[in-house]
Amino acid sequence: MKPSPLPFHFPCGRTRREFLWQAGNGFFGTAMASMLARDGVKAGEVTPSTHFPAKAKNCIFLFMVGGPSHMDTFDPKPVLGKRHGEEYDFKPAKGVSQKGKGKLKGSPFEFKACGQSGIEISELFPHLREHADDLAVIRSTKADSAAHGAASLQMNTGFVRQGHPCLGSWANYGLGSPNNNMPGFVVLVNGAPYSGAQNWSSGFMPSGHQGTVFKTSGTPVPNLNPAMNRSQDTQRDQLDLLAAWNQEHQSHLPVNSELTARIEAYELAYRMQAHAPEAVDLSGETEATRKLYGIGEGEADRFGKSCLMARRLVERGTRFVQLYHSNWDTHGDNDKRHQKLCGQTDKPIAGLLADLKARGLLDETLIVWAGEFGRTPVGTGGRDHHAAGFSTWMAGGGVKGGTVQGATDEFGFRVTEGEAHVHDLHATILHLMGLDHKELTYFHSGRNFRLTDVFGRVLTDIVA
Amino acid sequence: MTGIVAGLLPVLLLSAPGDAREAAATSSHWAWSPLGKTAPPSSGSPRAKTPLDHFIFSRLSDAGVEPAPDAAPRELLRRVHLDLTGLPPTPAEMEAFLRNPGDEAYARVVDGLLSRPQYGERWGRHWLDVVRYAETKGYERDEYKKFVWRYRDYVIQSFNEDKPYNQFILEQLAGDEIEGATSDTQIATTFLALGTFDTIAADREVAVYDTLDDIVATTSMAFLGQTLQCARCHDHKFEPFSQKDYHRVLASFESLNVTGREREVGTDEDRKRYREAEEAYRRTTLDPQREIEEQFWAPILERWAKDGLPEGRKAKLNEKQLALTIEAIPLALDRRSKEQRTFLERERHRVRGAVREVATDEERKTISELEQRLKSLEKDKPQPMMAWVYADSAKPKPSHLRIRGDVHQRGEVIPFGVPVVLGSEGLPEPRPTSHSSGRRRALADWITGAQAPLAARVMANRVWQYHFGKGLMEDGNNFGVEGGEPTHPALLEWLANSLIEGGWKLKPLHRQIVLSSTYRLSAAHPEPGKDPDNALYSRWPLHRLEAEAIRDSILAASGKLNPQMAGPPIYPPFADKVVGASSGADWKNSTEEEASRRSVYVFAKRAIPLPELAVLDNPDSSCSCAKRAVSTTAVQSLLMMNGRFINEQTVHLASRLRELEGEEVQIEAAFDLILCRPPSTREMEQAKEFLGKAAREQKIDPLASLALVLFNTNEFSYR
Repeated sequence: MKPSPLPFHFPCGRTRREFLWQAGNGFFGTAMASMLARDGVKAGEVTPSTHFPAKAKNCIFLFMVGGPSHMDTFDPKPVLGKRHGEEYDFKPAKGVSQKGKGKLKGSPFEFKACGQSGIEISELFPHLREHADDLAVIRSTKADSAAHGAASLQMNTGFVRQGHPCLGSWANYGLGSPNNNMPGFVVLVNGAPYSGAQNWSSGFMPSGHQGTVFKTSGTPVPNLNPAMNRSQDTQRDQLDLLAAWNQEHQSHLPVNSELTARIEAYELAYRMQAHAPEAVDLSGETEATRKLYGIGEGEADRFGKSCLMARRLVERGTRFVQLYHSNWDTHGDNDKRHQKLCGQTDKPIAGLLADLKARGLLDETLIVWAGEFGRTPVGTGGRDHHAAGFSTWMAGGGVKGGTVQGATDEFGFRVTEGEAHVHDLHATILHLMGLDHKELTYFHSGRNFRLTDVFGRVLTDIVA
Repeated sequence: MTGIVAGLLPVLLLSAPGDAREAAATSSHWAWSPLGKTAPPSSGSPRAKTPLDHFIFSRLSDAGVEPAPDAAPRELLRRVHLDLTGLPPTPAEMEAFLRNPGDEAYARVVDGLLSRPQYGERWGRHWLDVVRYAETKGYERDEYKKFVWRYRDYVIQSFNEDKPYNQFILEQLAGDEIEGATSDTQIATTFLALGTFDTIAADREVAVYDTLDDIVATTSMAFLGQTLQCARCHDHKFEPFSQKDYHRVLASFESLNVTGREREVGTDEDRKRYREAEEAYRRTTLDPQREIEEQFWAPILERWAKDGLPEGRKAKLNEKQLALTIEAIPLALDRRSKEQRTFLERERHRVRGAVREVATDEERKTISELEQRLKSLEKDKPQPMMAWVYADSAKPKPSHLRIRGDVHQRGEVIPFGVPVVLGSEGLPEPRPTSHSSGRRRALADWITGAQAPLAARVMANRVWQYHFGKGLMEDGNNFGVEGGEPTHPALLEWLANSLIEGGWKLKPLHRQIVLSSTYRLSAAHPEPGKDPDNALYSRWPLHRLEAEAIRDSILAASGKLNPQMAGPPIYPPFADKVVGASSGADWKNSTEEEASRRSVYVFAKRAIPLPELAVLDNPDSSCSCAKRAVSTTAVQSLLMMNGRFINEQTVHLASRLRELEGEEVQIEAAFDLILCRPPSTREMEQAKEFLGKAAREQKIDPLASLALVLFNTNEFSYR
């Protein structure tokens, strides 16, 4: 619990990055830099930028809502299987596990050492097994709460309390968006998470940093189409008239970056109308690609489409894409439900890894797979919430593939080595994206806030 | 103290542990010092109209900058209307003002605006930002907190009646502990209960403690402009507040039952009146009810008993129940057996159904009429006065320091008190009441007594900030050492003094500000480069309207604004709703008329804020917001161009314009209603040309398309 050193170079003020964002803050990242460039400030000096060279330019975060079972997926526990049915009391600390006492429940699923690295992965992920050498499996993940709402917030914002900016907001705040036509932080929802929109909220940062939800079918963004079927011609005429009147209004006033930004935002919106549907339109994809993601193959179809959309979005410069898949909250029939849920996601995720690799994008795209927590090793039919030790994984941009970080005890209850708290995951993600989690601060309510609060350390063992 | 020393102070103090370091800083920080009497400097400017102008103009003159010319009357009237009421002037109000735009007429306009109920709706909303107002608990479940809206109405009402600010503070912190507490002052304490609460937290003790922490944070930031919450886990890193200081203040709130729900409020007298009214209501409804029973039910049921059921009808009572009911009807209430009562009270709907089965069409009609009449009485059914306020305890348990802020690690007992550095002089001994320890009252008395300079400085700055769009202090919630110094220290002192001298009333302060020349300057300036960031107020600081003012102004222009005040929240329709896994069940859709009320009445749901407001930076209500962000995004533009709400309003506005004859007249009216000014010759030509082109749309009135452009202009969204 040692507080990290204070950023004394800005003892009580704001960082330059913060000042720039707050001064007029751009839309989706680049507007401010271009405006300042026009005002005679060198863009290179002010563009939000990395602290050190980034390994990953983009991040795709696959969020498994409800909490997948680690014992049935990425963390084999033969002893648990052998002692199946035995009464056991783990005596857990308060709040980190929903059930610490009861009948041990072994996994009915077979594990196998996969790839060169020999990482053991369960039979529930037959396709993902083929990518074992790309994965860094973190078997020692820890979170602070075993309640969905709070734990989801922590996995996204670092805090179990609401009101803080999420990872995607921090990444965009730190790095800006490389594309003028698209938002820098997109959320694809296949089943909404607990705590709802707070999960992609920018918290106390300006709302421009929050995630933009793209629907996975139909029109991707709210209000993307002109209302009442107004034609594109009329809308263009409207925007031209608007620009003319805004220029006229501004010509009588001193330079005002907000007004300029607002004029540009309309043009960006107009371009988004053209580009956003294209970004999520899968009709141009080949049959082979669609097949790779499991599109058109029953239960994998839906998430497959989202994964393919995610690839299209990062290709077009979206900095941070977050996919939600629900619902892994298997209190009831844990085993059958996991078969189904893994079936829905296995091929899409494996397809995403393969596709990115084939296109040379995996090196610059960080993939993160995580739920808000794992599940208990005790239970009869189902498994309950468990935050004291569970599995997550990363792959791609800057990740050392074929590695395992940490371990849990023989039952999968407690972390026994290489603990990786959610804060450490965050520190690592930011690190891979070129940001120092201790330097990336935002001044609010009397102090500098960080994604990692006063915690977090980079998991150097899984960094390539 | 100079800025440099103030900046170094926290660093120097960091080496000293705990309470010890506080002594060093006591009362050396400007914001914690007693108010200095500052007389306005003589600026010598002939344009100075009120004392505050001298503060601004003398600084300008020192810097060799001329103030901008006066704003044109049109610009000024729009500015002050939007500022004081959040709504634009009507074309008729504009016309009247332009006929006589002199100082006296302007002062009358200002007085008029300050006495409108819309003033409270506008300025009350500012306060709701400061107190993190929302009507749900947040987190996973985001449950509805019943009757929280009564607090919103209390705030609006308080602003409208110009309640002294010290009284306002007292009521919100301790409205239940003061002499002569009323239901209103009790409702004021909903302030304490506005925060988030995780009802299914894995560790409930942590959730409770987080909610208490939120009360400390909000109290400290809202009233004192101090960031005491940073000392929850360890001594404050930048301010001389120790962790003990935090817990001293926490002790005022620790006995609150933050897991409670809505409760009945009011004086004993109120409660007695309610019980009586309820009894009276029962009596008035009883007679017609008995009339129906005796005159209609009894004969019909007797007919059934005698002749049997009419053909094809189903018996809804068995024979025994039928006999029981017939027997019971003529009996006096207290003579009926328990069984008999059951059928005429709890199971009444069954008897009613049985009667309807047997009745003739004519009988049924008569009964329906009588029932209708009975139902209309229900509207007057007295309701108890319920509010979402926390219960307190008269015998609080001792408060412990929580080591590193961890609720499970108890340290020493910390008695109630206040931060050492601020000084405990003026902190009265708490006087317990029948239901509470009296600590909140003592804390409030200290804030409005010994700390009055701080409370007044903080509020004077807020008032200035809401008028000008920027504060004299940059962060209105941080008047600590690290908060820095005001841009115009003497002016802030003078405003704070004025607030106190004016009996803590805000309306005189508004008058001082909006009647000043400074407030009336044009946003344009012949030489803006001399004051590039307008740090000296050489011109009007143009700034964006808040989300609510934008939405309300659109409704005002379309003619659909429903001025109804107060009461339960409204639920404007939601397009493209994204909800949480278990949230969102309680968004009811209002009728269009209801939905067209002012934005301050929109249901404030934490998990799903209304896009029209959230996208335009209506604050996240997780914690106190001193100043809203102004972000500019394409998502906003999409909402303002393509959104359902705005497009519906342009259609309403177009039909309003169609009542006028002639294209030019219609264009002029559109400009008047939306921008509060007529178009220039060139704009008129451009608008006409546009209408010609927009006529290609078969299904959209070209005037609606034009109105949409006007609503999207920077001019409309900025004041």
